[in-house]
Amino acid sequence: MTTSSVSGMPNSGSYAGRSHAEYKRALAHSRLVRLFKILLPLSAALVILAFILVSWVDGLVPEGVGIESVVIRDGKLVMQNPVMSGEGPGARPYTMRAARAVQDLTSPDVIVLEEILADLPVSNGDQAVLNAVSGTYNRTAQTMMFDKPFTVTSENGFSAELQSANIDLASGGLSSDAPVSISSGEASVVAQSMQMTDKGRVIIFQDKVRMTINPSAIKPTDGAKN
Amino acid sequence: QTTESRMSGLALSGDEPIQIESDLLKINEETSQATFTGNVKVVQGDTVLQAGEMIVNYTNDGGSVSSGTADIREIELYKKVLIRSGTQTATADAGNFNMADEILVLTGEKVVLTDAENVFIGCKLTVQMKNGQAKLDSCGRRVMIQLDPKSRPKQ
Repeated sequence: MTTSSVSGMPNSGSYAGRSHAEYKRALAHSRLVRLFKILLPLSAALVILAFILVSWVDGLVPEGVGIESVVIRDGKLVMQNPVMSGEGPGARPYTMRAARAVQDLTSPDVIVLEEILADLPVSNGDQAVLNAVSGTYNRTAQTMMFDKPFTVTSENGFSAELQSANIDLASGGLSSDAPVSISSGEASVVAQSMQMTDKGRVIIFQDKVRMTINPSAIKPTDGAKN
Repeated sequence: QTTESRMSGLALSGDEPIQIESDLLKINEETSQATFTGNVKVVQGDTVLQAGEMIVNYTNDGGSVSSGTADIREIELYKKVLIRSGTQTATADAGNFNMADEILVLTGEKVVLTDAENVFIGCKLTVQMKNGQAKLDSCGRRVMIQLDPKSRPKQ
């Protein structure tokens, strides 16, 4: 098969008339590259997700614990409506409430919290609410372990649903090897597991990661000739 | 020696969501990079992009991250890149998309651009997103073109 001379090829006379097929192909082709323009807002969505996660894990050091009433029942200290407060990032207050906190006297460092409701500062001035069925807080290890599903939501449309998680409050690390679903107004990410290290500087989603960017997030860059 | 090809203007469809799938996604705030690795597949409408790895580099340039003023600088594509849209496909070993000047460059041992039955093979495809101009370079070797007679419009 002889190749015609290259220079004469696509813009030679025979292509002069814009046949319908070519127009249709041109349309198809325009979508090819549109994809890249859309990636423009990708980072904004990604970063917002990452950032909000960062802040609520960022070194929540408890200061005060208030308890409504305490009962000792079969070797366990049962506290009603405990409230733990302290300062989160940017010295902004956080509170963690629970219906009950149960502390086994033989291992006082571990406190099991039931029906947790935490109000956590988010660095962009927002507040996020953590809602969990139960969790185990280890005072000395400064860890929080959620063995049951929990959610973190904030008014600006951010929401995270995890099935379980181990949180290292001191280093701000979080890991969950159960399905995770995180979404902000413009994008959502689901994955089978997630790790977050040093206060969220690095977040890793693993296994069947799927990110969806909503059309609303797709703002055509102004000025770009379409 | 290059082949100029006309890829038409590039419109932005604001009505279809983008779906990105991969085995792993790593967001690194320090290096401002989001790296998708393993069977990366980006889909919007009937446009599909596949690669072994996609690195999205963004800049915060002063704007606070939380206000979402971070913006993409560049997207790097590695480990076998395939782009398919309508009847056109492009395959290469690697790709780079510079968002600022909207230029997509696909490179590789063999960069294959197929348009229906026409096949263009070179080593570097440069696409100007603004005006859709695509240039296929052969880097010294011959650009191989296979034209399907049927695709010649009737006189």
